[in-house]
Amino acid sequence: MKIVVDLQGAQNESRHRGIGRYALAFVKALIRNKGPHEVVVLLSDLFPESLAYAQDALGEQRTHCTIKIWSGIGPTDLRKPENHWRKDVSELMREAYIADLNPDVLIISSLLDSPGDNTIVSVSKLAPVYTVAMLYDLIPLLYKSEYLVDPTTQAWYYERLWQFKKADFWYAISESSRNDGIAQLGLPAAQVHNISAALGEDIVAVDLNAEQAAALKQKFGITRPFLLYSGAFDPRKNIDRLVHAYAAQHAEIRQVHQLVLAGGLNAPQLVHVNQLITAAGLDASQVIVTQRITDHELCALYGLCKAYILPTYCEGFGFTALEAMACGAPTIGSNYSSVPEVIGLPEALFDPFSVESIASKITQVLSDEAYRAMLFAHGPKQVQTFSWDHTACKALEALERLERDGVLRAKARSVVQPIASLGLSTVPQTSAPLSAHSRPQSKPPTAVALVTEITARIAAFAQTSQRPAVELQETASLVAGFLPRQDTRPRLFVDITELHATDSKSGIQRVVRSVIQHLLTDADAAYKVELVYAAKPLGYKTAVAFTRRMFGDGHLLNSTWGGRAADSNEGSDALSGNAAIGQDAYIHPRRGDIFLGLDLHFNIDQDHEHFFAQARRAGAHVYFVVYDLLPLLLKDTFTPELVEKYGNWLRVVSQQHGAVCISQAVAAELKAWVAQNQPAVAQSFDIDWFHLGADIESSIPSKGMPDDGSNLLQQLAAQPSFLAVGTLEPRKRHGQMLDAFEQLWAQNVAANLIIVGKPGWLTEALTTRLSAHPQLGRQLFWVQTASDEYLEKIYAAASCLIAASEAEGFGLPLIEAARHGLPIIARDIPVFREVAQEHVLYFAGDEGAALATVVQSWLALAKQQKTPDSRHIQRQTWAQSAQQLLSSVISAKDVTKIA
Amino acid sequence: MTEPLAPTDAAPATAAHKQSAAPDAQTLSELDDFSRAWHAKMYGSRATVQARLFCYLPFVLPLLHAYPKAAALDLRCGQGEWLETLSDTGFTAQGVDEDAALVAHCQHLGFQAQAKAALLALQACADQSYALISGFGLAEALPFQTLKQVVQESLRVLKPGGLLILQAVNPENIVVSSNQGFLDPTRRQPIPRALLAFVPEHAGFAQTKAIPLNEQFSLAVQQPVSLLNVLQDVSPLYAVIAQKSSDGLSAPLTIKAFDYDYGLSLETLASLFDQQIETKIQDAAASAARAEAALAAIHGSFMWRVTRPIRWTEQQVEQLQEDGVGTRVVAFVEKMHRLLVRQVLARVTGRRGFSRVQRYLEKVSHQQALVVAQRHALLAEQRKIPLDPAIIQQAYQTRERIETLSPEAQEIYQRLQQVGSTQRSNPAPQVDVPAAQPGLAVDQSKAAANSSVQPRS
Repeated sequence: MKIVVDLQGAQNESRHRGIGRYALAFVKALIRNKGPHEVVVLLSDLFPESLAYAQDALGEQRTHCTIKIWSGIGPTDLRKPENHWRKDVSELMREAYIADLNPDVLIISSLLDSPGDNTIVSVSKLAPVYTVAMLYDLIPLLYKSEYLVDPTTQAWYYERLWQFKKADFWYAISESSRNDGIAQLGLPAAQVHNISAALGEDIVAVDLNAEQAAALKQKFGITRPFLLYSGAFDPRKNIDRLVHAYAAQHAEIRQVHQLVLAGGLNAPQLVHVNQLITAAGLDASQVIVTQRITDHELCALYGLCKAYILPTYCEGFGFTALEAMACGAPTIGSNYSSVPEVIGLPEALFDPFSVESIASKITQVLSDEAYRAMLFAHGPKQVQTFSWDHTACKALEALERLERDGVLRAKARSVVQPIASLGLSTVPQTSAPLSAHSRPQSKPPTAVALVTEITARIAAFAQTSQRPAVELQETASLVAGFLPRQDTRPRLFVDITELHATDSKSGIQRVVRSVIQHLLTDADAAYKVELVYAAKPLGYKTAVAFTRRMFGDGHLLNSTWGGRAADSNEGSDALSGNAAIGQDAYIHPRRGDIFLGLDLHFNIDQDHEHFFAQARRAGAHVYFVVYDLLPLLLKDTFTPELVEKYGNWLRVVSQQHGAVCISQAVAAELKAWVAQNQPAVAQSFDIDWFHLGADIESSIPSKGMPDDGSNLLQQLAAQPSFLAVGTLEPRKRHGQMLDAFEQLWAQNVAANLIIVGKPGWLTEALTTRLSAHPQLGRQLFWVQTASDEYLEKIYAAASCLIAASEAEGFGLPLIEAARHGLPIIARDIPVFREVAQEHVLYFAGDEGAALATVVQSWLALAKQQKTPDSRHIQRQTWAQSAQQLLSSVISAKDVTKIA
Repeated sequence: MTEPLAPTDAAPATAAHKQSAAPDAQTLSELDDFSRAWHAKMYGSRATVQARLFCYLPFVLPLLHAYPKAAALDLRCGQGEWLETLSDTGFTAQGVDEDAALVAHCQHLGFQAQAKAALLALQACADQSYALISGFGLAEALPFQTLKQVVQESLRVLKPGGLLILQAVNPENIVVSSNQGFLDPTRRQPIPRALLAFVPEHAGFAQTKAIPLNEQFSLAVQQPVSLLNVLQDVSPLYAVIAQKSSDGLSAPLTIKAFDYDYGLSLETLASLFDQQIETKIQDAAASAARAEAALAAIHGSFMWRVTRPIRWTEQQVEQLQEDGVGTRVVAFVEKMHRLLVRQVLARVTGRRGFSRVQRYLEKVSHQQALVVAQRHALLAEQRKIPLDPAIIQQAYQTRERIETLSPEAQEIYQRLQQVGSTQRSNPAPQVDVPAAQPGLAVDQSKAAANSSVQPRS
């Protein structure tokens, strides 16, 4: 059985009061005792600041239930007429969301409380769901003149009562509430079930030592043994009679005791109480009125008092009596309403409408030691009979009985509410379907039917014509969210922002191109791959045009738009003729989707940060590929702005689900950085790694030879040529290489140095040095841009690759050199050790001389053919690399959750 | 509004009036006790009231040339101030009022007065028997039909060239018409100047002029116009003065006073007020421009440039006092350090053998730049206003919903919009039932309860 609990009671104003606490405790107990059933907790996002609170308040039960959040349009405070339309729309949204969940039973925690906020409750207005409503009390109905004073509150309450009565079953929190429901509202007795209540979790008996007790008493001015009342000061709490009863005590008793009234009062109530005290002939030393006190103080007072009194004549449950008994206070209370059930001892009760009755009980409890001892002994025993597990079990039993009797199934089969031909939002819809249109359905309405129905109803609302365009747009966007996707597979969104903007042919771009090539052809068919790019000003868009340009029509099995026959024959969306094909549309990640930030797009701004937060909230997983942490570890080789931007980007990345680094070395660095800079997320942030591939052919190589290309190749082939590939940056240490070779040329060593790479940042000095070098064109060569084809030929002509970077993310040139069988001289850094193992010649040192020495020793080794063979370096294809990346992003447990 | 004021005595009344005779009489006398005291309090002493009436003298004095000791009839004579003024001027004044007590008072003062309704009194007069008929506050006290009749009768009763004066409160004066004009409880409603002026014109008077009167504010004295002036200083009263044609007289009775303009209208005061504001704005703009020009001149002047070292010294002294010696020394040292590094770096860059020095200096200069930038950033940071992240998330969410509509959402939106436009062109009858009326909802809830009891099959 699938039980959905609407927990707005823990989100709206009631969360500060007994109802909110009851709702939370009840849900937690329900989850604890659910057995084979499934519990879904439904929260409303019209209370955004309460979402985190509600989820945290569930504590460890959070992992045993599913939390779902539905979206509406606010504000929906019914007291203002301009909110009516939004309230109607939000009701439809909520019901549609619930219908989508397809529950067997819906329990509503807060139906009759909390006017004047965004609480949305409607019972089976759109689709029939078996609804259970919590019946706490009907006090406003019984005391209209106090609680339903102004017309708007009254109107609101009656509307809610009407919804309340449309429910199918009711949980009452006490016998007296149950009886009220049956008597006042005519609820059928068989459908109202008393599930009782229990003590709140934060009420524990407090043991104070002598000094603490004295301090507390001093704080409130308590000097003598006291009779305690705690709670509100509404008229039904009967404080008037209590004070009079206390005044009617004998002088001896009054002299030796005090009456403490604990609880928050507003100004008029305080005035009234003070007048009451004076009128009764008492003064401030005999009756103490505290202001709002903390739970801890209250529990302490329960423990310190001589007796606790609950004189109210109308309660839903009477939690304070239970609390007092649990904290060790002998408790007496009225014999009206639910108080007898809670106290459970007829001798402890009095007639609240008779001052003499109250007075005699007070006398008894304050002077009769044996009587008080009996109450004191009774308290804990009575408290044992109330427990949340017991309540939850009663509730579940009732539901299971209903399930066995087939009542739940019968409700689900009843007709869908017809399209509102009435169309008048302000007149409540009747719940009886039109007989002419009744058509029994054996399954819940399809999502498309739901959307059509909702759109028709909203269109029929009287005020739709006057709503501003932005509200209609927001509504449309929410309604469209219910539409299923054409391809129901979960999505793998791959971010290619930089590649989409400009293909800068950098190393990272090559990685991106290679990976997406393989993702689009070989990816796991369980996911549909979509290339996306960051759209200004917000969100991400599918790169349909780009994909078509890159990969052509229809070659690929798993592309965004072409391909499988199954896709094109899939039932078309009832609403749209699919004009979206061919256009870049915004993406809306849903539960089960994955977002992979493949491209290095660190110019991220706040809106995209929100996008990721939204995606995570919707249940999608967000991962990023981290290429290196160089801007943060070698700060002085980068411009300050870049360092700051990169740091910000990494901060955003660390908020997501995880990152996949391109080498173990980088993964270690990232772990250290996160532990140091974002310790809060260090535990939950997943860091994995994968190695890049090396086959250039499959990464869509570019072609083109410059005019003097063949000339250069000839010169390279003439004598040993040392190759350095990569953008000119300070950390690549081209300067050191140049120093080394200048030394060698000074010693007339025959060796060429060819540098392939564009000038990057902070390299003006180097660039000048290179362009003005005397050996440029003779033994020194500098190729700024080379197509892949040209680069291949240079590799073929060169004798050895020099990788002198101070730090790298991976070192793709090493792998590429290995593919060409080119020997390598590399700086001894961890990532090169990881990638190339022992198949290169390592050097260390920052001076040109160090490198020059190694070059010479390499030349010596080369003569004897004893240079380390780079062909032994382990490398993998891009296909393998993409697979490695995917597997770290799609874990097995995710796949099962999607089903 | 519809029931006319009943006469206080046994004057022949139509059947419709008879019913309200007795109670009205009582009401009137009660009212008049009250209004007398009120009148005295609000309108001021007799002398003050009379002083206000002198503005009519230019109109009425020419009548005495044509008709020496002319007879004048004051309808609604009240306490007889106008009667007194008329007699002093030389008229033979008679008064009529519905309030017997007031009439008695006038008689006591020595004037001829009758307690009668205005229309009845006029009807009882012979043709062409009076040179001047006046009614102060009469037009507002009478129902409009009666007023028209009064004017008609006046035309008959007046001698050729005679004057009819009707004074009323000027509704154009915002304060008076909303507040002070109704100090008199018997006044029914304000009557616009144009309307009152039309009545004698239509009745057949030869000349009619509507004159705003009694303004305190004087344009002659060039005082500034405040908003309160605009609201309350437009002429509080106006008079419609109508002259019967002089047919039958040997020489036409011309009254020069008709040719002049009087009074202060709302338009005049309001436009004066606006003009004032305009002038103030222009003056302010002009002075601002002058100040800017002067400042520019100063900054460009030779003396400003020459005194730069002095100003710099002053600023340094101020900073020294503010930040303390230590901070200033440190700042100075840092600055010198930066300069030094920059100079040496410029010399060393590119030279062989100095690469290590160069690298070191580059590092240092980057760090310095970062420090300076960070200081600026911190200053900027301090001015940022912290925003609740939940609000920002909420705003983003709404923006995202609105700006990233999928094609299906677009369709739904268009459909809703179309509905809007069709609804606007054929408005459906708007049933504007409030959320729930108590009785209605309970009944429906009972009905729903009954239906929900039946098991669904």
